[in-house]
Amino acid sequence: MTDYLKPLPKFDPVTAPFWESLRRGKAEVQCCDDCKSFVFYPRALCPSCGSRNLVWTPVSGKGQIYSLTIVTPGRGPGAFKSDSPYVVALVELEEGCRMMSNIVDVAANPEDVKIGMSVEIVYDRVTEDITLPKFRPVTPVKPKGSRRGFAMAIMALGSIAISFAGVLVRSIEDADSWQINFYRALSHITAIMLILILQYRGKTLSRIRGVGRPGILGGLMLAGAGISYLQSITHTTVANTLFLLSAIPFFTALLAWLVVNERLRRKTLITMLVAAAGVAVILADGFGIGSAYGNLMGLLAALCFSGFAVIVRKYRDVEMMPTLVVSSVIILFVSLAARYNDLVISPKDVLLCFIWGAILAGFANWVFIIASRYLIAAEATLFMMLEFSLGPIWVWMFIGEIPTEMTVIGGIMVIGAVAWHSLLQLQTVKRGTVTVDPVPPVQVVKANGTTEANF
Amino acid sequence: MSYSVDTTVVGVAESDEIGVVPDKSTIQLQGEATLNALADAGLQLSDVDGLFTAGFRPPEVAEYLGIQPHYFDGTHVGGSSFVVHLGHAAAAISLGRIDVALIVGGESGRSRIGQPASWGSSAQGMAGQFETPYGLPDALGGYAMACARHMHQYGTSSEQLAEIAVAARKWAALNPRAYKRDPLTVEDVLASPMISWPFRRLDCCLVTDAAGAVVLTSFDRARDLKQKPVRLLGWGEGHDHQIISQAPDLTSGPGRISGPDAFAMAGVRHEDIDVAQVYDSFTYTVLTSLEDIGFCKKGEGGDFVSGGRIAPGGDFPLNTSGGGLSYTHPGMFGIFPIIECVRQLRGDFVDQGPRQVEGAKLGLVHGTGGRLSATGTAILAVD
Repeated sequence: MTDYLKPLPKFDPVTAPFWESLRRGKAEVQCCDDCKSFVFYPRALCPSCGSRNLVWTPVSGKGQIYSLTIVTPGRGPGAFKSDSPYVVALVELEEGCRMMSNIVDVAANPEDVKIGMSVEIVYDRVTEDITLPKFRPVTPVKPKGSRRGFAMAIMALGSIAISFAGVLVRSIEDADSWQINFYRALSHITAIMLILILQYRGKTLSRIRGVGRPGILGGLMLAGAGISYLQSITHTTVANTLFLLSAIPFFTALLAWLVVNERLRRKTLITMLVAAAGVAVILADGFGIGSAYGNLMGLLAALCFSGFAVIVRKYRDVEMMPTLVVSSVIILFVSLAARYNDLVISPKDVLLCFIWGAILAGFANWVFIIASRYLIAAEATLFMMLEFSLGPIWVWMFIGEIPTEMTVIGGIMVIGAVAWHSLLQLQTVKRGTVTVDPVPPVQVVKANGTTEANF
Repeated sequence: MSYSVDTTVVGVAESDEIGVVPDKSTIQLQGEATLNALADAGLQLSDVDGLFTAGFRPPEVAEYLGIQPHYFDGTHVGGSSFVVHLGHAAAAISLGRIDVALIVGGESGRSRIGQPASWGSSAQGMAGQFETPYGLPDALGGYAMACARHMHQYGTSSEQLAEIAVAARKWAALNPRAYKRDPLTVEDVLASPMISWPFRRLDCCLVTDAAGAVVLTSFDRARDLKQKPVRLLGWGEGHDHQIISQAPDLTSGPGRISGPDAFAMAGVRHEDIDVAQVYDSFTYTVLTSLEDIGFCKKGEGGDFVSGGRIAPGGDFPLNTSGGGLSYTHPGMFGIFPIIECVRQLRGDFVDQGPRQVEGAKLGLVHGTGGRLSATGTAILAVD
């Protein structure tokens, strides 16, 4: 229970009976014996009439939302950030007094949770000693189930689509990695620009200019990730590259701890060690059989991507689509510098690069950004693992590329650890408290570092 | 309230620099503002015998300035403190206890150098027990909740709130000291990221480094000083609650107490006011304050601020510096509306075209502190 990182109330002698009543699961509030008004917070005197005759009285736990605010993704004080979006409300109890609380079991969206809504108490036992009074709609609000289902479906489609990237690289005949980079970046820019123009029309360029320092830093990190990813995949098996990338959530947690002083939870630390062992197995095996370069590049790609995720956490609103444009422009120029006199590749290779950059990566990035508004971080991470598990299977099925036994063992360790950790997180997140971004006017990457990794 | 007051504001100033000042501490900024305001008045540090401040305790400020005031007031009711100090200073001057009152405030709010010791809540305080555990994002969340209720009850819209931010920016464009001066439209405000529904980023004030100071003395003494004296005709102060969950009515604040008190004391009417400086920690703060003070009925604030009425050229010049939304806002903004009001009444900007509200004789300053918790209203005038 020491994992509860949010601020806890500290009772005083007058307020203790309130907190104790919550611990028993039967809320009590003071009622003035003289003027009969209910008093909250607990006091030594009635603020309505000055009487000292306040009597602890059981309350129904039912009431209405008097007002509320919805804290949007990536915001909120300290440890609350990871819960965002969430609802903070003032609840007016039937008995007439008001208390601040959270509204749970409803999507944090102004269309779903409203002033005047009837709510009832739920006892949220956050530690041995403290039970917080939370409230949920009396009539369950049908969550945006269809939207969530839709988000899950397109997320799965996107993950499956991008998992074919490995097969695609292996199907390229002659183009070398810089030539692939060039055409892939070009087609990626085209696709993303198309989406941006459809969305922002006349304001597209100012959106891209508006990315600022975080966008440039993020773009650099993504470019580094993209380049080292391709270096990796062309120098070792698809399995090696993708399994190393699977460790991204842990690298991110580690970097966030080092750079932005985020706390590392014990649960995370343990699963992280398992994943690290998996990474070590893959790397050691690689050194043994001479594919060290490819493995190290895979590791670098994972680190760069985690660096990007940490930048997103630090600066909060990094706009994803314009940042993707920045990163692709960087890749474009770097590969142009490397192969400016040698850009002629076979039409088939050009086509494959375009399928990859525009269709697979373009589509995948777009759906991931849409879906991340409706899915919580741990769910998004699980979909990412789908991509990294399927990738090696496709190249085995279609190309006949077989990873070493040690790579498979290491991969299972990493992916298993990440999946296990995400499932644990899903269990602790109360259903319905974290779903929908309230009217997002601007697409913002979920600031919890589990932004989708796809190249 | 029938006693006559002959208190006047004779000097006002900000710190040497305002905005992002990464190399100066809070107390240093306050020191600069003090010297600048005294210079504006043509007075010396040694003339100050009454000290009014919030943030630091009065002895901390007195020690730094090297003065030995024989009247202190450290009333701390959040950002409105300095407006409240105006009345307290006037009372002390009227009683003959002091000659020259210094009100000083401000902080290194952005660079956070040498901030006063936290006056926030502990886990055992009422906020710590009954608000903090639910992740309310501080002042932002409290005002957002109040605004949400106002919208629900009166149909106030995001567009109406945006008008307030847009008008502030238009005024800021005329003020070279303003922090944000690039053009802004209602669409831009509505397109800024939602941060704590219903507030978007551009509904919120700036966070800057800045301090300000105001010097007051009696009208008799003011006659021998440099500046045209600005009379303090009336003031009021009001309290409602401290933490937002205790607000009796989220759609109104204690301006409904301080506003009418100030008008009654000054003996003037709302329609006589030529220029108004109304604390704008958030767009909504302005809207609800205008209603509370009585410029319009409760629930009509949205219409009141719409149609460019409060922007340059409108018939209700409001927050003519650009306010906390576009000019500067270090944390407790209340000293700056006083400074701007005094400058408008003295006609400091007469050679700056629309920056000067033409013929402004009667001005209103309204400060809001805490979470719509405590307010101060003052009415100032030139002859």
